[in-house]
Amino acid sequence: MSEKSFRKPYNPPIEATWWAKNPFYFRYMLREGTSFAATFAVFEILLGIFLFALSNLDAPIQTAKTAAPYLWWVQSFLGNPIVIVINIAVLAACLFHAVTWFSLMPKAVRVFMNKNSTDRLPDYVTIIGLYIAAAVGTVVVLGAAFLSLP
Amino acid sequence: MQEQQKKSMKITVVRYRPEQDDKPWEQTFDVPYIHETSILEALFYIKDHFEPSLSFRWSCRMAVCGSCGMMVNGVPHLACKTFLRDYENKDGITIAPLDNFPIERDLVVDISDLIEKIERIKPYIIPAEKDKNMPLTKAYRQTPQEMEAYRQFAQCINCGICYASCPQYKLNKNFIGPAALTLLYRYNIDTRDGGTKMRLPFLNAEEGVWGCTFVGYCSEVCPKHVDPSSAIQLGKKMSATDYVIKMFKPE
Amino acid sequence: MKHNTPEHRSDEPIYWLLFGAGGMVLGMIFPAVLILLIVAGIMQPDLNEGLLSFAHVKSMLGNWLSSLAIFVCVSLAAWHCMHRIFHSLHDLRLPATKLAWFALYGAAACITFVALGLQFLIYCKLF
Repeated sequence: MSEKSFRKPYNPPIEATWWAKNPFYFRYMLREGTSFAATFAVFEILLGIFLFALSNLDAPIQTAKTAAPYLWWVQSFLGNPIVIVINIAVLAACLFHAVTWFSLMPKAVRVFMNKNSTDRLPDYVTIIGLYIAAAVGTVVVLGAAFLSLP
Repeated sequence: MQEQQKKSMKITVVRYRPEQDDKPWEQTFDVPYIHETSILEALFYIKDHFEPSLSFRWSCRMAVCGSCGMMVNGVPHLACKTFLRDYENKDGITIAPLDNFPIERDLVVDISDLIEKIERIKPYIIPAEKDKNMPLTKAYRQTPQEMEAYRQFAQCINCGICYASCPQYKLNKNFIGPAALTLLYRYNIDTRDGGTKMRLPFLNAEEGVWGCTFVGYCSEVCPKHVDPSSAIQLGKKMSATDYVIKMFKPE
Repeated sequence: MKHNTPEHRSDEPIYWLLFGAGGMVLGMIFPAVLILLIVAGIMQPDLNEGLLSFAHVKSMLGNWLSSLAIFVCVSLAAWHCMHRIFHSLHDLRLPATKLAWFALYGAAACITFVALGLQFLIYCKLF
């Protein structure tokens, strides 16, 4: 190059807090953050299963003593007011996750109404379908749990 | 003009002169405007009346060329398609160069990275083997539905606004980015095209669709309503399908 | 992350499919599961009576269908969460290194195997 270049491009620094300034990005980070809440629920359930396995399952007659580890989980751990408050927060996070998840799902679905149509399946059909599925899932889980009560 | 009430608005423009400045700074102007004044026209006014050295890119003034992308109050917009009247309730407007690109001068950014990435994915129809000897006088036929499948994704004007809105491109400049991935998907699903195999490696790579975390802001800000985030999610499905097929049927 | 040339195929599809399935589980099943956990915490079940009492959970984990459903939901949710946390590390400009990758996805794999092992053990003992 014979001519001197006067270019001096400026590259703005990338801040770690880039997501805090734009409400859209903030909502995105909140959405991603729901996974931390859900992780708590996963470990909570795993702890319950672990303590259930620790209980004396071979005992011919179950007493409060043989089932002590599990009863600690369900009574002291789940019954702890702090854990109840955390669980309510996790429930809210899961609902927020569900709303964002369902509202983005139509972008991954691109189906035409029929073989020759140029009309695509409207977004709201996908979204309503997902909400119905979520309602069915909730009813099945709650129904199964309450119907199997000993 | 006579009937219309004379209004003016405070417009802050981010300046950067490579000869003198080490980093960008702000300059504020009072710009008179009417109902139809666009940001681009406000910049013309500033250049004509206050600051002849102000640099910015523009050409068509009608949202076709894709030259005048810039940040308006932190949101990427085409200056020709954004109007002062929509900012009446805010305390003025701040105009800055597009995010995530090197600033060359004032509002001019260097988008050569975007251009290189769009070139990389071969954004043109590559005839399939069977059409290789098709005479140029013969048309490729396509049903309306086959065209509708990609039509929306073909509206891209390469303005770079999706790149300015993309946090993943901000954080990792190797990410191919929304516009290039949208065009990649657009040509792959075109029934006239036979170049899918050449484009798939770019789609399947870490820097391809898998660099996207579905923030979705690109679809929000796209001035041509191309919906890049939809094309990328569909591209993820395409890549995942290809992954599973190759798992059972390696080449 | 891995430094790939554009031609290098990413293994992300596996994790993305698990993440997607986990996202569905979290949105559709977990709200109900959390309601159960909250109600059980408030109702204080004992050995034989009440929601999530010992006998109730025994019947759940002793049934192959419900035990399998619990396993699938918990492990998919774990993959979903670890996937998102890994990408959040990158978003927050924390070091999303290979080590972090192994730690997080390893945790998801551990949760899967521990849940599978424990539930299989319980099922065998109860059967």
